Amino acid sequence: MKRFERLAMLAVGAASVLASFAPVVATASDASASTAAAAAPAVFQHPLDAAAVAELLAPVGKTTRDAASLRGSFVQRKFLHELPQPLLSSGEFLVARGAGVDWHTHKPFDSEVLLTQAALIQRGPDGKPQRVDASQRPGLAAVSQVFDALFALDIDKLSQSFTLFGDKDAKEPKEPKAWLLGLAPREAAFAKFIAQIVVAGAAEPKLITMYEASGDRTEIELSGISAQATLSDADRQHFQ
Amino acid sequence: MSLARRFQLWTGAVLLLLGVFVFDVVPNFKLETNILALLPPNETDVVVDRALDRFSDLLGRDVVFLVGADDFDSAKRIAARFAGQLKNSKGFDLVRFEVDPSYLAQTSDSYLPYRDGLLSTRMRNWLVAGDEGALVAAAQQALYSPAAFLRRSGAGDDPLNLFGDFLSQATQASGRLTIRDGVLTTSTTSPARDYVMVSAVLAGDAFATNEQDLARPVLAQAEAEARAAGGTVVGAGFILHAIAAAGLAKHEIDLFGGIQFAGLLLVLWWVFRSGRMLWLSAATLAVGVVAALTVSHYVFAKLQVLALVFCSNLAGVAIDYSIYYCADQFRTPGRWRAADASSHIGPAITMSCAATVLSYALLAVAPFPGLRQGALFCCIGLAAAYACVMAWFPRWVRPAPLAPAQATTDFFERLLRVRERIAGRPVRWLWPVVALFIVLGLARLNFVDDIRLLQPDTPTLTAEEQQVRDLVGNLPDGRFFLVQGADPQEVLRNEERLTAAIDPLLAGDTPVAASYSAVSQALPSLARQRENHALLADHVYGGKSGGMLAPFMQQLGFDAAAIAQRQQAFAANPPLTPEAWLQTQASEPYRHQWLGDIGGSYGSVVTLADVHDVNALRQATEGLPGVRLVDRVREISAVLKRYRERAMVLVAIAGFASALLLALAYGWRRGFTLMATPSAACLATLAVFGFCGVPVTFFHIVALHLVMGLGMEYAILLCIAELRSPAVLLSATLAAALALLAFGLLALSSTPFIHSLGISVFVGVLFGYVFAALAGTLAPKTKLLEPPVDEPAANGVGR
Repeated sequence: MKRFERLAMLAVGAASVLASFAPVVATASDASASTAAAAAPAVFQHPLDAAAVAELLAPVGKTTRDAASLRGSFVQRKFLHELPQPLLSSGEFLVARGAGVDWHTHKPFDSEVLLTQAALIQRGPDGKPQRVDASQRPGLAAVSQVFDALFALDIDKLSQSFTLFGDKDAKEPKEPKAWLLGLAPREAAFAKFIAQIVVAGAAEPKLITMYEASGDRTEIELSGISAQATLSDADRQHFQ
Repeated sequence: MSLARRFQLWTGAVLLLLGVFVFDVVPNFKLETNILALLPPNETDVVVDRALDRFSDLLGRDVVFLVGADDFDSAKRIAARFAGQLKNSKGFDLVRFEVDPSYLAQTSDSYLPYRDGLLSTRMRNWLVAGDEGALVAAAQQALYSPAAFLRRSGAGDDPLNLFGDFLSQATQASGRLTIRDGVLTTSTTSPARDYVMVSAVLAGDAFATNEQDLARPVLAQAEAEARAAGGTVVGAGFILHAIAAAGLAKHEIDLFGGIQFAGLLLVLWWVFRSGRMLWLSAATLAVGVVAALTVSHYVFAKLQVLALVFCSNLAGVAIDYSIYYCADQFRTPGRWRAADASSHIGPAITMSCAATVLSYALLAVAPFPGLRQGALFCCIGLAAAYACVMAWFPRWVRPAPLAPAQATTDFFERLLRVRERIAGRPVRWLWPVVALFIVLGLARLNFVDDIRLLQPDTPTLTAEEQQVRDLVGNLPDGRFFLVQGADPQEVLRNEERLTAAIDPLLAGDTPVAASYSAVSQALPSLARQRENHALLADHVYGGKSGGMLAPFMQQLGFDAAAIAQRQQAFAANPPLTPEAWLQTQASEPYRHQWLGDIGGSYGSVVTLADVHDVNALRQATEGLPGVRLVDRVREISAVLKRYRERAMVLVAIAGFASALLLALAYGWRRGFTLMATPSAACLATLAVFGFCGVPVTFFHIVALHLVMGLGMEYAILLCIAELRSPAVLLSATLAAALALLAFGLLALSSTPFIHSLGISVFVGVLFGYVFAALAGTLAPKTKLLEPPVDEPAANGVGR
């Protein structure tokens, strides 16, 4: 009987997974989604195959592309469609390939978000960590994998979830060998919250822009990136 | 009563019985599958039972499959084909393969009109505690986090993420699955494999065999094709076990039944040279079973499935009566007429039947429905089979031709002399050895009452199920809370009290369980909605102090108009009622848990995932109104334990009572001595289990009842001096040989309880026959052999 009950529960659990998987922004409306699409850059007129992606990203140094971890500073501007001015925040990040992302905001308030394969751990100004297991929050595992791949420019992984576009003669950023990589989600469910992502860079990624389906937009400016070939034990521990 | 009169009366009775059986019993026959019905009636709560039945019915039909392949595209292609095949069959109702991407949007739409009475547990706790700082920090994080797009509500519409946090709580899902190309998938790294999930719901009732019959071939074919295409299919679901068990049982019945039947035919034909005898024996058995089913049907309305276990007991004993009767012909080969046996061997059969029926009747005294039904089943069946033999055999049995009969008689004549040489010699040394063996064996005996022993062992399926659990992740446990109330609102309020009590246990460093899922997380009670509304009005949207919303929005840079708009939108919204909620898609993941009206009261189930410390949960929820922690494994195992203990005592009492009955017929000394060998056989069987480390279950003990009955027959036939003849030795030897054949085959069964029955009877019959044969004959009122040293019947089998 135990086996039966457990099995039955398993089935229910799975059914609820099926039913409630896809995370969506509650207020996403067709109108705002189309606004986001309208604002999309021209990069999405140039679809890429795998060889073209490799050519596009050729300027990115081998150290960066093969890095086990990337460390640097960020400035994030979040443009809410209800607000005239962006929400500004800044801090430091650590991306460990295959392990997760540590997002440490210093301003306007001290807060740390640790996005690992298994969980989302948030530490607010009071220093108390709050853990949300990926298994309990639909979409979290997918998001953590996308983030990881986005910062590390892990094209194999990205192409599983996105159709890739590119422009190697980009005007932005204004420096030689600049490129633009456009990502459009393959999943209808994923597209319900992220319409498009554009990564701009040259020798390294510089600016990540996420166009949300709600009409909001997030710009993340990266600077002072240092790449490590191996992941230190301390860093690895950090993501356990 | 003359033989002719007896014949007419019984034949008439049987015809009447058959008529009643065919026209009234068969169309209305019901089998009770709920094992908790085995409990003494006053110990179970009817409402609880009904609630659990409802829950099991809802769950029993669900099944999930993970279709795996070396790469995602193949896995998806094979899964699509697999799902299509299930969908096109009549066996399955609902097959899900692709994900509906609009589910969450629809969910939030359906909650939107009620949002001003909805709060997540953590937000509510912060507001109740007045910890506005924590709420603001969480809201800021939700805005600034790079994963902020995961929030479930817009920043302008819900700046403090109050509604968003509730939506996250209400639509929480479990599992390690991710979405890709519109399907749910998961993967393993070593070996590198991708899996795609397919879920299905069985059409109709999981417990009904005809629905299983519809599903079985479809599933087998779909799986075979998936394998042919290079994929693998692992599944989990009750129905898979039912299908496997049914398949296994069918296979075993075909195989063992075939061998047993062929063996039986061969032996009986070889000994009796009469086709008639075979038909008569089969008819006797059939009438016994039909009579037992008919009477049970009228007495109990629903026959407990466990009672059918006694069917084997009935068959084992009933066939012997035919053999004893017919074997009488070898007393006077060539000159025998069927009617002669009635007066010669008839009394011994009567005695043996009376003692066996008495011992089963004793089982009926116990207030355990399962035992009572089994006991009545056997008593009626044995009595009917006995009546068939005594009424029909004198008229219908024809003796074997003289030559083979004479040969058989001569053979057993020689065997009889051998036996008497051995048994006649003092074998006093044997009994102390047996006694020592029994004492040492019993000292090592241990018991097991685990319910899992009831189920057939299907290791592949169990491994598959574990694999699915590992792949899918954090999934509900077999233990859960059953919550009841007089109306739906009371159920929800009771749930809210329950979750408040267990929340602290799940939060600490050593959580007693990983998580739980409760309907009230998605559907707060009306009282809770009113409280939430009041909290929001006081702390967030204004009240006298102004509320926290305005300063927070100002800080973010919203203008005064936007702030005013948001504040004005806050209103006394309509309450979200269970009826309205059940109409929405938001309730879909919880529908299994909402039991609704369960006959006068309402119920729901709170499921738990990864329970580490069930006692802590039990303690924390002790005394909460309408809350019951259900641990069916434990409960059912407890039932089996009590049955086993009761059955052991009853075997001992039955042995003693049979001895008294035999004493009436054969005198005190002979009566008790006759019971000594079957009792010793029972104890020796237990001793063998002790030495071999086989844990003894309720089913072993039930089997001992049969060992007692059969052993007593052998003792009567072999030890009563007046019956001494090659014919009687043949009867006992033949009966024992056929019992060994039948139960030896059952011992090979991979269904654990059938195996237990088989092995116990096999060992017991072996001992019973050998002990009876070695005990020597007991003449009336003469100097007897020393009785066996152990006098177990009186001491009792259960220590």
